[in-house]
Amino acid sequence: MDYRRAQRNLQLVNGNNIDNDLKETTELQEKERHPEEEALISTQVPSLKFSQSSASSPEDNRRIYSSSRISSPVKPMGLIAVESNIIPEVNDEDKHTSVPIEVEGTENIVINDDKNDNDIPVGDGKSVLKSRDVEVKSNDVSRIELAKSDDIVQDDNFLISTQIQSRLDIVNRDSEMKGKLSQFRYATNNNTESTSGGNTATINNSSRLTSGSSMIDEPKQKKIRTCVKKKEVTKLTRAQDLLKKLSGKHRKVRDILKGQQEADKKKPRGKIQLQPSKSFDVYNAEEWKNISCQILKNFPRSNTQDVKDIFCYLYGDCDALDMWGSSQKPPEELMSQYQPNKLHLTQNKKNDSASSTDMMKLLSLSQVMEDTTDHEKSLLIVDENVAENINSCDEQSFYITQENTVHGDGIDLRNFSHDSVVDIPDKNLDEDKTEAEVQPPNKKTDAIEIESNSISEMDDNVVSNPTRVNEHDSNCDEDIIFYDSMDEMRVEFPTVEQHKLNQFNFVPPSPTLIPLNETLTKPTKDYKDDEIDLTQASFTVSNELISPIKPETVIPKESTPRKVGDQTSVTGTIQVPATRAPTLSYSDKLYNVSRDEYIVNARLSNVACERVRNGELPFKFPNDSNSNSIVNSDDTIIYDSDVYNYKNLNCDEDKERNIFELKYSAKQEIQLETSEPPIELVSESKRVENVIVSQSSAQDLRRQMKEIGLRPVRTKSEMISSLESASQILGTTGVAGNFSTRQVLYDHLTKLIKNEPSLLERIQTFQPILLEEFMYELNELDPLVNLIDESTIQSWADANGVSLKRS
Amino acid sequence: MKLEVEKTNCTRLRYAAKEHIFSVNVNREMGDFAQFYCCYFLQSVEHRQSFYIGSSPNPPRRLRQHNGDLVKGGAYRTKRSGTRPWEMILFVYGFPNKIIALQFEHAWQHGYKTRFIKEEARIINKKNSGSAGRNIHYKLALIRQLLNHPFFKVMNLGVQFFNSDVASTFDQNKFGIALDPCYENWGKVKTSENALSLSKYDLKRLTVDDLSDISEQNRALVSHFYDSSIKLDEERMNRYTERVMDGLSKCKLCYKTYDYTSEDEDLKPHIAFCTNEGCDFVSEVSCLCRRFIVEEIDDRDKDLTLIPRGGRCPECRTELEWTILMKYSSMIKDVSRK
Repeated sequence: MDYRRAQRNLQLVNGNNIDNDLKETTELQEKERHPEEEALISTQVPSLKFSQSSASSPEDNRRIYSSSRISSPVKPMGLIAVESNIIPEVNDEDKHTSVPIEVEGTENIVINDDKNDNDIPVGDGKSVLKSRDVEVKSNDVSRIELAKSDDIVQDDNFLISTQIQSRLDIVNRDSEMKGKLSQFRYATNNNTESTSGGNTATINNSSRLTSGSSMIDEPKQKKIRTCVKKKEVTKLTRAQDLLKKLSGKHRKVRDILKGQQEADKKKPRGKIQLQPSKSFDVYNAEEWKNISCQILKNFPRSNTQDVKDIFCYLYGDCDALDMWGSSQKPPEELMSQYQPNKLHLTQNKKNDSASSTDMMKLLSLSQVMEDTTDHEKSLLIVDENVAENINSCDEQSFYITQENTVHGDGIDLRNFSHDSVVDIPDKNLDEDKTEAEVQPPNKKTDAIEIESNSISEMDDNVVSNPTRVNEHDSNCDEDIIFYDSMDEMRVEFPTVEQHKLNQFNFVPPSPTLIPLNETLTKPTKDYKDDEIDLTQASFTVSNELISPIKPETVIPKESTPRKVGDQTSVTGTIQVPATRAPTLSYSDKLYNVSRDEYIVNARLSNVACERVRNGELPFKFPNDSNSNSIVNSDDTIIYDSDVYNYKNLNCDEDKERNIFELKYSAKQEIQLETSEPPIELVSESKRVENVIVSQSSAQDLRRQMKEIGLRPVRTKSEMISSLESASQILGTTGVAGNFSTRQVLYDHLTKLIKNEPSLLERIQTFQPILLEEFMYELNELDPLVNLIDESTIQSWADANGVSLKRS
Repeated sequence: MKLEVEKTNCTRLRYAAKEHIFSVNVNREMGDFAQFYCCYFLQSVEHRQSFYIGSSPNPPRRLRQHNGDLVKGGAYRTKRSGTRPWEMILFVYGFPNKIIALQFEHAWQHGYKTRFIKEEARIINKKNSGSAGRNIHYKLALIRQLLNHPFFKVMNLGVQFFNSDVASTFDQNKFGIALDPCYENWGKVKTSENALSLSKYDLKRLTVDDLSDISEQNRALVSHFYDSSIKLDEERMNRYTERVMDGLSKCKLCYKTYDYTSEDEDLKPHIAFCTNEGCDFVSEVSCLCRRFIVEEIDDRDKDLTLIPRGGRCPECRTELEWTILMKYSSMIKDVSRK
């Protein structure tokens, strides 16, 4: 009923000149009224939802719609970008408009679904964006003809203004949408291309879906570029498959792979391009300690400032300007030592606003939603100018993340994202400000923290990449910390309620963080399983994301921590290198360490906890005496950077316990855990390893396994998995089959034994141990031992004077 | 009442200790710490090109078996006519248990294929290499190679020569294999006093008297070494048993208490005593081990060392061999179990 009323309204709006077209459309829609259709139509008007819900609806809803608002403008752009036969007109002048913005006639979007170029599209959707509402006035109906040589031609051009659509029943739409989510899941590409933007011009793609032959047509309508990209994504697995299938034709396969490898080499890597000048040697905490000791030894006259300078030289001032920089950060405990120095650096940096390093680099939603190959391997950069604009604006001190790149076809995406973002009401801003006031100005990561994690591994690698921008200080735009993970998403949001609770030192029993997967179709999964620790290995992050279900791809959005993201399919990937700075904590135990007048709920490593309890650990806060180090011991206390900030904050300022404890309790909900502390730091990317491993012949693999000393296995896939597991402790040197491979394995075993007193005592007293029993006990300590060949264990035992006997 | 219980305990322990010492290597499992275990090298007195490699916890008795003095006990390979009497020209001793001794024996007998000598370092790679494999120089070189292997190096094995001619042949080092300096540091390669030298005999025309004379002298040398070793052990064990029977005591490194008189196994960790008679240092094995590893002067990576070779007593600075400490530690533990 509502729908029909909407159609009537549409008639009124469009006037008589489109009467015929409308009739056609109505007939068609009534005939083929598909649940999907409604869902799709509904997806076109998230702005309405937004406007309704922003006033009174629960916060979750608001988040949903606001985020969809952000994401919506990008979608049509993506569509246009890949349409090669259309040259849309874009007004670039609105690029730097400050908020509130009214964009009129910004774009006349013409979308043509016609593949064969038979019909030149006529019509333009003129969209007017106002602060909280979207009004689409269309003077003409965009006519899109689907001229398929072998398919039924659907000539149903119609325009639905968002106003009319707003009449539709929201509840019905939501429920239907959710019911259809599973269908979207398997039609990701179709949807991403066909789903229209919510608050922009009308896009006639519903006809495509309503047509009975849509599913058949879709593959044909895919853009060539998209296909190419998809190929690249699945290249690895295909290579593996090929190898498997053509196991008899090694040479042929090898030639193919070699050709591809060469082709890959020719492509410059965006990572390298972006950071040509930054090639810091990165040492971990212990190494740095050694270095500083050596320096002081060799140059006894050098003062602390000199050492600090060296520290800065070694680690640079890469204050997490981008993913690479953040991954190369010095260890946390060292950072604390040279914090004043670092602040000095950041100040300098601020002055030098022209420098390129000032640019924030983070994933914006527009980027996330982007669907092109142009910047496939480039990091996404925030438009600095826009950020400055917003900084100047008092009420809306948030950042707009945008792409710097303009598409080859002349469309500047910035307008879209800008428009959409600036409209967002910032209700909680005041609270943020108060929070910012509590925090001292010299916080370590006082700017923006982005935790961008992705969830949901769908069949086609659909990954959601929400980005959280945690803005603590409106002035700072340099410090960004990225925590990216491919496999999961975990977003921390100190909600308003939480803040209030925190004030009273109350720990909310239920997690206040809303994991993204709850709002998505993907069933929730355990975070801890797929934790990525940057100290263990690097990983890949997608920089291009395509939304299969735009309105429902919900990003919890908060006032201060601004988070952008969407559920997407991975089309391009960025390598996030491994780092030596601890990114995860290794124990989720919480210990109360009482010291002086405050209590710190610090998450400590197991050993550290033990030592703190025994009083062995000199546990120091930054404001204690002159010592800058937190821990003057081998065992480090591992904080999340966030936690550490608050620690600093409290210690420096008024030693308030509340915020401090609070913060920890908030952190508690997203505690990370790894199975074991990192023993070997993997310097090179695991991905590269995998490529090497997967492209080696079975013979090579067998040889490698023999060199390393792994238990021989029959199939190649087993060999690969075995080698990959071994590379966890051996590092790349292990897989590459270098000289020290076995020694690394031996050292690992020795360290395992050293941590097991009962076994150690038996060894020390020369008691012969049954080999099977020994293997079993080692396996208990580390499952990886299962992969190791018995002969390797035997030779290790021989080398260490361990007497093994066989039953 | 309590005193009586303690007294009973003490008597029981003392009895067990005595029984343990005199039942050396009897009814013991292969893996148990051996008070004495050696691999010996026999050379036929009459037929100097005949050699035999064996292992035994009681070399004098075994020698008599080889020579036919004791009927009981197998000596098939040394029974051949024209080879008896056999002279025990040397033995390698200090093996923690029978398993390791047998491993050494096998490796020594099969130098061409043992895993304890790297393939590229092997002097002979084939089994049927003729006289080269039966050469005394080769057999002595194998000792050097085996002692250099980390597995045996950690045990601080000793080499005792009972024939000065063989000792000089060993020193000749025909194959140029350098022995790890730790053996010299610890003084583990020694020649017995009054070691035999057959140079004064005309080996081609040895009389029966000469043969029996040589055999007797050799047996005396071996017995002397073995008996003195056992006696030393007995003395020390008595001393340690007395101390253990005092009841509660403390590790001098970690100050944890232990009590070998109690029934609770948790109170009976492996403990190590200083071998110096005047020193009453005692500590848990794990504590002392850490201490020794830290103090070790060898160039091993301290983080990756499981077993130290030895160290100095934290109190009296006496040099202590780890293997010997472990021997007494295990024996005390055995005594307490009984």
